[in-house]
Amino acid sequence: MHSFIKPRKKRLIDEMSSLWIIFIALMSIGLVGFGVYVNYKSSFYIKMLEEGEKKHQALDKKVKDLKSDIQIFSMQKELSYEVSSSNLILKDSIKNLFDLVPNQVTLTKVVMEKYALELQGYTRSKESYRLLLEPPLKSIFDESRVEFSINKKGFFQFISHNKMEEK
Amino acid sequence: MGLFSSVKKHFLIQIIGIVLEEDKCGIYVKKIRNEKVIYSNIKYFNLESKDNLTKEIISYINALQSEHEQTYVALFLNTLGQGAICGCGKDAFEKFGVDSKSVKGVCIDKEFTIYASVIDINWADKVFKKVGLDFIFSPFLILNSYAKKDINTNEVKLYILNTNNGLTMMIMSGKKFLYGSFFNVAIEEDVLLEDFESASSEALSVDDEEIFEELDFDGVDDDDTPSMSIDEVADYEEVILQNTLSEKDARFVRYLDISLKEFYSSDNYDSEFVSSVKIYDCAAMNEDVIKHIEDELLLGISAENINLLEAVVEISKKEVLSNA
Repeated sequence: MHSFIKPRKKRLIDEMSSLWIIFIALMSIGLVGFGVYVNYKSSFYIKMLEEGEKKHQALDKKVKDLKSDIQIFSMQKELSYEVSSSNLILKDSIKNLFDLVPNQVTLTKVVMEKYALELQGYTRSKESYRLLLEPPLKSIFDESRVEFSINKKGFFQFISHNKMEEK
Repeated sequence: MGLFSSVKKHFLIQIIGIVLEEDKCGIYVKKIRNEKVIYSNIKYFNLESKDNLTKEIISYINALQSEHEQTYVALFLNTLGQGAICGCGKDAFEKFGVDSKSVKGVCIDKEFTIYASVIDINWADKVFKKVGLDFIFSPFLILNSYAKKDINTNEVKLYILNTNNGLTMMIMSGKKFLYGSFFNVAIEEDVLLEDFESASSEALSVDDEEIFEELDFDGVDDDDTPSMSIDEVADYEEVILQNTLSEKDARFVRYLDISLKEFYSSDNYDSEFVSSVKIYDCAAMNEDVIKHIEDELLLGISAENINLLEAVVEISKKEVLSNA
């Protein structure tokens, strides 16, 4: 510096231009900021959407699993109802069967099938069987036949095969 | 050059160079971009007083300033309270009897100091208060910028800057500064004579009205100080009588003689014999003055016309671009 005084500080550009540049700079910063914000938000929403999609798919799968479970449970329930009703029927049938058996006849084996019944036992006389047990069996089953044999004690052993036509 | 400076040169820079004289004010406007001049204009305004700028000048400069932010106003300081001394720092001021507190100095090339009185700098600031100043340049700075270009040998040379109201002298031995002085030739300066009195045992008698008395150097002719011979005084008188020299020119010649005598006689200076004179003329120098110097001092003289305002603006431009 060769001057006796220092130069006053100068602006590179005039005040109006400075204001414009500041305004444009602020606007640019604002726009860039807004752009960044929108980009961030959109990526956030996209991520959220993807997560929602994943959750939705997981829930869909869960619903399907639950539906199949429900189906299985319903089938099991129906089956249990069926079994229960069959058991009741069987119980009634057994009760009815035992109600049918007179005191003169002793059963040693009972094989119950859906449409067949096999009875094994013994009695003192064939008549006891023929008069007291055979008529109800014949009235229930379509076919009823009996085989007798005499055991060591002198009782008549019988094997009764009864069948019903399948419906 | 810094980054700011490199950027700055691409902006339009307007430099206003001002030379204030007693009765007129020259204003040179230069607009620069990328170091290319895109506009320049010189305008002169009349002045009633050097202490008061006219409204016309103020409004002209203010209008220029309002055009561009990068406007620098530079003033060429041509007041009497200034000089140049060998060396830099407080010691140099002490050596030459200059009160360092009352002047502001600028060290040039670590070789010599140019200084101006704080009063004069404050005066300039006050005069230009309504427009503001960015640079105040010493005439020694202008003269040095030209002398630097001229120096090519180690010969002792007297460089003179002749302006309308000022006489600036520098004696250089090659690149080495030996002596410097400044005088106002537009008006009779009492201070100069007082200064000279301090170096002499008798006071000088000065009367603005009487040139003959001004040229009478008997008053300083004693054993301690350089004196003018009777022949020399007679020569002056002859010149004035023939009306070939104006008062201003007479002062010019007289101050030149006084300075040379001071240079040769004072112990403060390395008094080497001046072998030639180079005059940088901004004020259409009277050829009789040149002839007188050649005849009386027996020195070879070369003169070059320069534009002072242009020089002020050029230095301002360098300052602006180098100190950005």
